[in-house]
Amino acid sequence: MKVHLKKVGLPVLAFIAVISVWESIVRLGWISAFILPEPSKVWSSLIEDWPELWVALKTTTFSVGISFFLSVSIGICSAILLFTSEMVLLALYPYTIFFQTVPIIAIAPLLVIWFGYGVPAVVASAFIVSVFPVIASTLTGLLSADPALRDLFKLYRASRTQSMVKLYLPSSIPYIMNGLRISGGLAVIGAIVGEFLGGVGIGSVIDVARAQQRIDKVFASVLLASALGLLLIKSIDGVSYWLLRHWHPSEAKES
Amino acid sequence: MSFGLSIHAEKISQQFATGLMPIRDLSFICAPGEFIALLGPSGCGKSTLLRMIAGLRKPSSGTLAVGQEQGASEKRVSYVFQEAYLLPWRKVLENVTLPLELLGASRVEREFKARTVLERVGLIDFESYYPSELSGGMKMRVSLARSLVTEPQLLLLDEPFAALDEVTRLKLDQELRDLWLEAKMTVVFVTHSISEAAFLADRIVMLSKKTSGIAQELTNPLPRERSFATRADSRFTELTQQLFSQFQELEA
Repeated sequence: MKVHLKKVGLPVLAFIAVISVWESIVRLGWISAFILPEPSKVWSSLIEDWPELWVALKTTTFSVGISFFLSVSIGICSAILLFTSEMVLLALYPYTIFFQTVPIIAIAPLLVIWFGYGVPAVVASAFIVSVFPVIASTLTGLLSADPALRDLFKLYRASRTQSMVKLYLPSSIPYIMNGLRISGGLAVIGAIVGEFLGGVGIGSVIDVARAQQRIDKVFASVLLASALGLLLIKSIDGVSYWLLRHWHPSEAKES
Repeated sequence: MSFGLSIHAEKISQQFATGLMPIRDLSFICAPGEFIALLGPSGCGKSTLLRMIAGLRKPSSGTLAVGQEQGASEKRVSYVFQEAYLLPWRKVLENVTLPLELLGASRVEREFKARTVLERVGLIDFESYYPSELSGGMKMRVSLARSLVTEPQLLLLDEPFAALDEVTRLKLDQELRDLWLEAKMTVVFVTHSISEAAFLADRIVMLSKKTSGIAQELTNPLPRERSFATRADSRFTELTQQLFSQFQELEA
């Protein structure tokens, strides 16, 4: 109980402290509210602009959801394909790195040209930045299956499908989960970047508010985008715990 | 007619890509139903030889035949590793059923056979535990159960109890010997422990690191039925002494 109180109490205390200092600094006029709006103003923007922010948040959540789903399914399938055939791995893996290195800001305008304004361009942008961590982590996981266990499967003449389903994929889950945490955060960033130009969602609200010099609204939107990322990563943590709690040290419960 | 598989190795060699040759022109015969110990210092190629017998590695040269006297229809070989190597995401029962699952047995048959061997190794009450909840000795018992569930004709063990504490190890040695007396399969047991080899095997094959081949073969004079008291038998002491002095010569 005491530990629990510390674990919840201390972050809350730290939060209150930071917010109070921030609020006083701006109110005392040490920093202009034009540059850094005080927390109370961000809060009131959240309340006043809620109808608009809520619509935008729903759109962004939808785009992030679709692109994350695509990244996970396409990423895992691609990794299995790369793993199954050495030829495919040698031929294509160097190009998958392209997804990691492409400057998304630079190609976002292209995406709008190709997919038009709106959700499709946003999904494409979020997918491009979030798929690589899934491919890379799944591939690492598949390649790290224990050699002794591979021998065991070989000894009992397991088929390729049996080995994949009963050995390689389960061994990869801890790696995949790690990849998904990174991918989830990136999907939100990729979506916001796409929305800057795509004209929908939270990204678009930020873009317009900035032009109108509504810095408080920018902050409120950024807060919502961060909350969305946090929610996604926490859900992945939950799934990870559920899948690994019985067997992987990373999720082992204290006994 | 014997249940076990025989092993005929003629002038087999194994050369690694690095040029290292842990096994060179080695020949030996193992009769069906025999319990053999491969004894030797670390790095003498014992495990390599075992992997070849299992078919996990092909000899670079020579012929190695594992089978029944008259053209075997189906060969059931099991392998126990240095550590338990259980699938950590599966419960004990599901770990033991794995080999039968891969061989395509029905669920009812799998679970019936798995429970039978779990009963035999004394872990029937732990069938729904995860490996992480078991001690080292228990994990090794599950691993042993997994190897026995297919009713193997040839059981290969690669220093299976080396990582366990002494009491557990002595117990498992005893259980393995008893299991063999019941099941009558061929057993090849790799170890670097002289007393373990002397207690378990009917024949002890000593491997030499220098020649990468067999240094000596010894038939065990001890009776078939062995117990903890066997270790106090004068024949046991003599045998271990003899093995020990040869071990030293090999190392010299």
